Amino acid sequence: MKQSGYVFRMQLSQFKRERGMIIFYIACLAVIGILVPFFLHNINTSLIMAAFLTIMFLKPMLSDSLAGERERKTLESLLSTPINGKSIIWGKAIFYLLFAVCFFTANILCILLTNWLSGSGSGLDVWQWMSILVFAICNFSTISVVGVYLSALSGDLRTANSKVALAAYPFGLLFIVFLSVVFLNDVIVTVITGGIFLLICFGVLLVYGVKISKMRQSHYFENVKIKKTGKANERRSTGIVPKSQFAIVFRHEWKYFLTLKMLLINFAILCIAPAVFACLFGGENKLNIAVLITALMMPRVPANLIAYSMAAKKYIKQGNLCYRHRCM
Amino acid sequence: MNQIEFREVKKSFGNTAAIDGLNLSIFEGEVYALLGHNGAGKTTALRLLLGLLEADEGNITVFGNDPIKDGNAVRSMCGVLSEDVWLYEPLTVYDNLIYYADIYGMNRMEAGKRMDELLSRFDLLEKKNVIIKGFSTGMKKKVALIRAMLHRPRILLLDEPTNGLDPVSTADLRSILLELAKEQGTTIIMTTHNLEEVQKICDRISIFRHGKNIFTDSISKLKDSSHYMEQGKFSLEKLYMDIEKNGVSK
Repeated sequence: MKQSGYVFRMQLSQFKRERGMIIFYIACLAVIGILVPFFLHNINTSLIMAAFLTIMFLKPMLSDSLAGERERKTLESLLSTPINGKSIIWGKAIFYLLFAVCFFTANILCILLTNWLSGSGSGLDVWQWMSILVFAICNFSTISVVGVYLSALSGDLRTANSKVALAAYPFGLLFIVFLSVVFLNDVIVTVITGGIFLLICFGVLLVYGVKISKMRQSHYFENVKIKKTGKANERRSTGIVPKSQFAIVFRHEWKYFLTLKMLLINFAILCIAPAVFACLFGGENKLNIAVLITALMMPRVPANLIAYSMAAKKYIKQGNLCYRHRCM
Repeated sequence: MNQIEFREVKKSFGNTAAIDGLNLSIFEGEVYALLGHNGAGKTTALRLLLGLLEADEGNITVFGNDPIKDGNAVRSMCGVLSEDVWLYEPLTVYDNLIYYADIYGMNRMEAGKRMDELLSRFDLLEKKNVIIKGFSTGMKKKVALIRAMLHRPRILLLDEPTNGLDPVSTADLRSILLELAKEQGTTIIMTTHNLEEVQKICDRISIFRHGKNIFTDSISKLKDSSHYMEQGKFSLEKLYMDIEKNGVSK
């Protein structure tokens, strides 16, 4: 626990240095917590957006947690110390859980306050607020623990992003379904649905908790699969010989993109998930939310790809090679 | 008990044998160099020693401890400096060092004293609260070296320690390493391609080839022998090139 505390403190120091991101989080809080409830007068939409935004912020942080350290090569240095392999995961997971809970709670408080100040009342009963908060803690715990564990076993940031997305988004959707149930204003239905969802969360937490407790230093290296481009890539690389340097870079990016099967699956899930959600739970209002969520989530995939394109190359030092060969 | 020992150690990654029946003995207080071509297995040997990798076959003991079973005990004895400096660049020198001091179980006062002592020795005291990002390679290397030496480790593992250091810092480093080995009995294991440096500070060398230790001898013995002389002096480079070309020593 003491060692997890050191990791937690280190995460906090790094977080405090990212002032640009902190300002961005505050701006998002202002939009979702103040502007949306003020203009829409709809607490449901504001809460769903807050939940989704929290998970959207959490996902890249979780992916970067250990896969990022691996790419920046600070992980090996950390593992060369007498720290336990599992303490690193717990320390990081607790930090991300606290971030998510604080961000979501701040959103809830802002939404409440805005609603109250605009004369609409709190919008929900106390039991509803409490059940949302309890479920949020359990849901974010599961996402954080699973996310950090998957990041620890990923060879690079791209792989981690794809793996973490497959864990974070389904749990995010579970949260939104739960929020919709809470808005039905039926205590029994909420308790039953909440109970089932909590069981799922605790089950997953238990499985990953056991896996993490068995983590040793060597597992960080021996269970990691580094993505190889494979034979399919070699086949694709034959054919037309590109004439321009632009074509060389474009073809290289395209080939790499096709190897990211997990990312493509994620993209497909992202496209259809909100629509499926709207169809399942019906109503014009839900469809509006679905469209809103899709619009919020869509830029993530191209944004990630753009961020990786040169930034990741700088880490793995391919950028220099590219300059040397005058590809740019 | 007072030695680091690899006995018939094997380690493969898929079909590639990184370490193939490695035998090695390093005594306490020795300055030992692991030499060899790229991919010879030097870094894998260091990772096995630290318990970051598990050997497929054979035994490794570090002063009587098994690096896998007693991993934390082994790692708390070691200070590691890698070729890539592995620092948290958005943080200050102090933040980086205090993180590791905490992990090694040093109390804040002791850590602060030791930090100041090492920082002033490497002319970095005024940079204590400066963010690492923007430091030159040499400065980063010095910070990483201070981090490795902070907890007065019994074993110091150095991977290309002089890479990126200016001649003055290299000479400083040499004197610090010699002092650590001779006065404090620190065991120093270094992997390097800088043969001149090896000749100046190492007691013994091993040359690796395809995961095997193909040559081990002490520098003093080699200096006394009449082989591998160049302009009347012993040349490690000549010996190394000969072994790389022929596979075995004369």
